[in-house]
Amino acid sequence: MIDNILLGLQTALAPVTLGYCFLGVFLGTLVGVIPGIGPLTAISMLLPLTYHLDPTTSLIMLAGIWYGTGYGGSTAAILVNIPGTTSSAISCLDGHPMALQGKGAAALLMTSVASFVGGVIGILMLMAFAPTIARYALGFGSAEYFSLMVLGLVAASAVSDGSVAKALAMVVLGILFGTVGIDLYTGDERLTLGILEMSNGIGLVPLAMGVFGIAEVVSNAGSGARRSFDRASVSLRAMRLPRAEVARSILPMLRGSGIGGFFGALPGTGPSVASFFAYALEKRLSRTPERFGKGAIEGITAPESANNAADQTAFVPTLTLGIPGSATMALMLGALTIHGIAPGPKLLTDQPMLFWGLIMSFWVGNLMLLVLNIPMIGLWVRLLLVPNRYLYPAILMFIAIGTLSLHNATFDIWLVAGFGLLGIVMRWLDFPAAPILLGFVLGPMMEEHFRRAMLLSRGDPMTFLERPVSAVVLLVAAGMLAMGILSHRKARRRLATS
Amino acid sequence: MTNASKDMLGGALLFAAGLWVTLYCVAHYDLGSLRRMGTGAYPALAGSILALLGLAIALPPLLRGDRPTRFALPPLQASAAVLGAVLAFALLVRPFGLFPAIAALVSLSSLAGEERPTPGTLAAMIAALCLLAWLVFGLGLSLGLHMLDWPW
Repeated sequence: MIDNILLGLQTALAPVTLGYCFLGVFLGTLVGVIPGIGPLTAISMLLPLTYHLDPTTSLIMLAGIWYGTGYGGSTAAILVNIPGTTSSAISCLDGHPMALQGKGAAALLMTSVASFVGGVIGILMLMAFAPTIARYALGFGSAEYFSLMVLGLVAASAVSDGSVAKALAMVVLGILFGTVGIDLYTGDERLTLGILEMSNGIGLVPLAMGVFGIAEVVSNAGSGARRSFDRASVSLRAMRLPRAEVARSILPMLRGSGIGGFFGALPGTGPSVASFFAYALEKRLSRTPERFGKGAIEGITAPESANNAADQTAFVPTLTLGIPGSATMALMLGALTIHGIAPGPKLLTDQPMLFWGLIMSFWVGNLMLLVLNIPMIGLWVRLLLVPNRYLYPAILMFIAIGTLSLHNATFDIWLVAGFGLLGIVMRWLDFPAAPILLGFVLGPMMEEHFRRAMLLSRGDPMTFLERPVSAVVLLVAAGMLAMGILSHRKARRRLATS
Repeated sequence: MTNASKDMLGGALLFAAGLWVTLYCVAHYDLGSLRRMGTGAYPALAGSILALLGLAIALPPLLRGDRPTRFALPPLQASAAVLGAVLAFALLVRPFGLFPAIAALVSLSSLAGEERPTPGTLAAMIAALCLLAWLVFGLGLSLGLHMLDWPW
């Protein structure tokens, strides 16, 4: 363990790695501040850049973007009441009232501290659990992996806000996009529609850029809402750590981190669910629940530490099992496979430098965010005031050139436009886009494991229920599906009667 | 109730897509057996599940007695401007190089919002973004993209 930590530190503290880690957290905070551009768009936009880096460095940078958005998203939420990311939406409730009361700087400062505490506890949980899970998972066969992937996809669909059937349909659509190209078993082309470029399959980057990037630009370009707020409340002079609020935040931050760490590691639930849960818990535990929604500091610090802890532990299933719990983690997995690294239980022993380097870089990155965020708040504030019509052409340009730089193929840009159209239609009809990515990344792996399991069991599908681990996992998936459908029904009935 | 109409339309589209994929795979590819699955088995399976889910989305509101109603169209102007900008970039970048492609992309995408930039601002934006692209992709990453090109 000590050896591994030292190896990780050595990797994470190398000058080049430090630079890219900084670039990641900086860009992450930047896109986190810009409303409408979430971590998914940001990571898919910057994925092309990582093709030219070695896998460890690129993963460190992408991960930096991921947890950096957590820090940045809360800035927009507190100052202008627009959540930069969904996981910071809950911070609007108490953060914005604080800003209106002239305590914006204090709120931002406490957010950074809470995010740091959450991050640190999340990393500790990641370090404690990942090796154990990986050791256990070494005994898994194809049937177990297939069932685990089913669980991941079902869980992600069942907890999503909205209809379970819609989310599942989007997962299956993603799986279908994943089947395009050459079938690895038989070498035949599938669903390429006779287009030569399609025989290599659909790329992760064009898909993600189209469905998220283009659709987000379209839906935000139209809204030209002016953002304004009181500048004096965030001046550097107002940045003092208010002692009473620190004292009141210690327990909520610890509780929030625990909740976040737990929900982050589960498939399907992520930082958003964790932050909502942490907020609800604090409100219930509080002796003065009436303060919530009017600028209670616990209403910011608990969910902010929860979403940051969840950001870190989300890597547990992704790295140890190779099963991403969310669309963002699916992108991380995609970045690894692009470099020819197969995530899974062997990753820890085969690529200790990558695994421990990444974890140690989380420490470095969180520390950078804590130190950098406070002096840079002025910069983020100014960025928030830039009107959309200047921002979006630049984002569009990065999407176009980034896609082109992948394989230097114009066809990929055509694909971006095509998937962009799909993304626009999906937003219009209220279909969720994130499950497509999850299905797209997991689909080919599921097919491989399914076919291998069938081959091993001589064509008997009962193998998934006869193997105990696989059976239990499938049972849990079925339970989650039933619960998701029931709770959705109940919610709709309540809506209908009221 | 616009939601019900959206579900009906979306579900119907998914049903059609799933059905098409399933039939296409059955017609064109070998399905094989469960033990040794052929090329088309997995996409055909996924396609039929998609068709079923499409039905599960579209039918409940129909059975409840909701009838399709008109609902707002997607943001047509913004969609056309943004998609047009991306397509123009794809068309121009190979024959003419990066800078003309960026100019076309920025000009077209500036039509997306309500407020239009003045010609001066537009020119400044194009110049700034060309410079940025050159710094990041030309110098920084040296991807071998041509900044300016002339096909003839």
